[in-house]
Amino acid sequence: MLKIDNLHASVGVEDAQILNGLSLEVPNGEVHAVMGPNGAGKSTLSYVAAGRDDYEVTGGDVSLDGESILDLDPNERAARGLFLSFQHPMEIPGVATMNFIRTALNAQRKARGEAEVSAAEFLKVIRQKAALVGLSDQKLKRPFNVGFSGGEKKRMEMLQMAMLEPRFCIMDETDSGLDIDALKMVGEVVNDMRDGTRGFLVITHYQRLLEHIKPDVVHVLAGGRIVKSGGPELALQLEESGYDQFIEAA
Amino acid sequence: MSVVAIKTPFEESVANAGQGFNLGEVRQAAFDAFQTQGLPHRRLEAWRWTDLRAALKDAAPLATTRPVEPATPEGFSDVNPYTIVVEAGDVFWHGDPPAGVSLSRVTGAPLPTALADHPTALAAAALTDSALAIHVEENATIDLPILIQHRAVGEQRHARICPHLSHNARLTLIEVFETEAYAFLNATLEAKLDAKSSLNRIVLQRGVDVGVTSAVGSIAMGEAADLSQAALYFGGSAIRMETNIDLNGPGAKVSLESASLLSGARHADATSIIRHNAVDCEVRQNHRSAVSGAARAVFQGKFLVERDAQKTDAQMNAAALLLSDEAQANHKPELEIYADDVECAHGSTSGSLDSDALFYLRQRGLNEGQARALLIDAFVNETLDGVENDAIANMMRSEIARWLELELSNGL
Repeated sequence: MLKIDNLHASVGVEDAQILNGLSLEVPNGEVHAVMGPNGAGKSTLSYVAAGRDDYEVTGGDVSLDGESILDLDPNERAARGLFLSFQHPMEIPGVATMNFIRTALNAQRKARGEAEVSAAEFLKVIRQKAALVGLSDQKLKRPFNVGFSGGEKKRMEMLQMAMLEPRFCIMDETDSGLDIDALKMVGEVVNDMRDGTRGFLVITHYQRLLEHIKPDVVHVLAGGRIVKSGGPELALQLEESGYDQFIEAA
Repeated sequence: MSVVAIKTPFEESVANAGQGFNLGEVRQAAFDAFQTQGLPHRRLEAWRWTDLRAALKDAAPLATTRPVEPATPEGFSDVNPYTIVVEAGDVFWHGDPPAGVSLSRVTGAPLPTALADHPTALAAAALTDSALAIHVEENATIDLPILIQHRAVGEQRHARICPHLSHNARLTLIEVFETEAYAFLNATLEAKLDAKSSLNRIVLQRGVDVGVTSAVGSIAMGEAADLSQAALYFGGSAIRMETNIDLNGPGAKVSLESASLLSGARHADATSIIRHNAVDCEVRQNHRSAVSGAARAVFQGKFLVERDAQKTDAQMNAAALLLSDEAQANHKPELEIYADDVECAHGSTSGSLDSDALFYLRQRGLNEGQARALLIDAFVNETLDGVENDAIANMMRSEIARWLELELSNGL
């Protein structure tokens, strides 16, 4: 379970306060959507949870399966099973894609005291999963994300999520920049991974992704805190009436 | 004007080495010229970041002649090259060189014009009995790489290597510069590339913190000749790796890739001058430095495009990755252009590791050291992208990996 409790966080030299007492709980096996207007603090939430060090937590707590993760390094959080699908995935010239994903997988396994995955086994699995997310062998041989379209980069995020098999996934606007087919693919990957224990926090502006990933709970984030929570119907309601009412309320 | 009033022990040792011998015209002239100039120091513009005079204030003894068995240097067993060893005051080789190649010792060879006033080339010309000539026959493709090992252990060692690639000849030449203890390696490469010939040049400079090296290449290129050079420098107390290229024939093509990987208080200076004397020549030059500790990376690159060198297409790029607060990079890219129909560009950047990329890698499970090492490796590894011989590329990559491992264990 991911539990965020009264989280306050700031960023930058001027210590701009972005999160103002954000609380939410995603029990194991559930999918929660976080929706909100620009500047509400959605990406900050994902960065703070993943441990980016230019964000300062000024109050509250984030815990995974009952243990606070705020004192852990980003890689330690990853090894505990926290995965962040980035809104703007990096291009990293010179880094061989397959080598990097295997290094990441084995680093996490090592940190958990598990055996490393052999090159042959890794190759077999990544080929299967690359086919699922729609990335060709050719793309896997390229330097990481170099020359990829926005959609291909999101496919690469989904490939890593499928390969690393995290306990909890935060998806930061994975739907932005995706065409209908890619959107469907994201839905398939997530639904495939919904095994009753794995949790998802899906951050999005729009209802359309939620047609493919049915959320258990929808939260509205505005002004750095959750201002309303409800069932899937809340997303539809937002689509109709917009965020204005919440911005004013926040 | 010479401002050198008091000779350093090194300069004294050079003066003494030349006294009382009949050296022949060329060596005597080199002695005299070196006596006038002395060692280069930081008050000379071309040497402002590489003070050889200060680094060589104590003179290591000149190597004495003794026989040496040429052996493949560490790490090169998979490359399995034909090895020539510059050791113990002479040049040694074993058995016959590959078919199409002949080796000989040449005395009295004048320095090429490009190096006629070069201080360390003059020292090499003064202090060597003979130069090693490597002749490659016309139309010969030499598959077996030739490796020249320059090695100095607590001594100073000077050498002149003079490859000549005849028309349409192809050769891969590896030069390894290695120091152990306080030592001075000083070498020239005086290469002539005839029309349509092709030289793959690989340079590896490694050794100890206190090592001093000056390796000066002068490469004269004929029509449609091709030079592809990849170099790794791991630095020392003062390391000057210099490449002078004269593009004398139309359509000559040059690719220069180099990287300095420096830690501690090490220094490496990658200097190059490319003179465009003919039309339609193409140059691609990239230098990368990864600098940690209080190390200093120097890059000085110059394209000189003469009036007749129209349609020149030349690009130079230097990038430095500064891995600590005290790390330094000095870049001096220069274009001097007298022709009016050319495309020339240079770029110079420096910075630290990208924090977004670091966070990305760490979110995927790599610890900080692993993430930093991966990004540094990605940055410098591109130097080797053009190396076609897999065994050589792998060997060079493992040198980078070894440096990164050492950096990691020192808390990169």
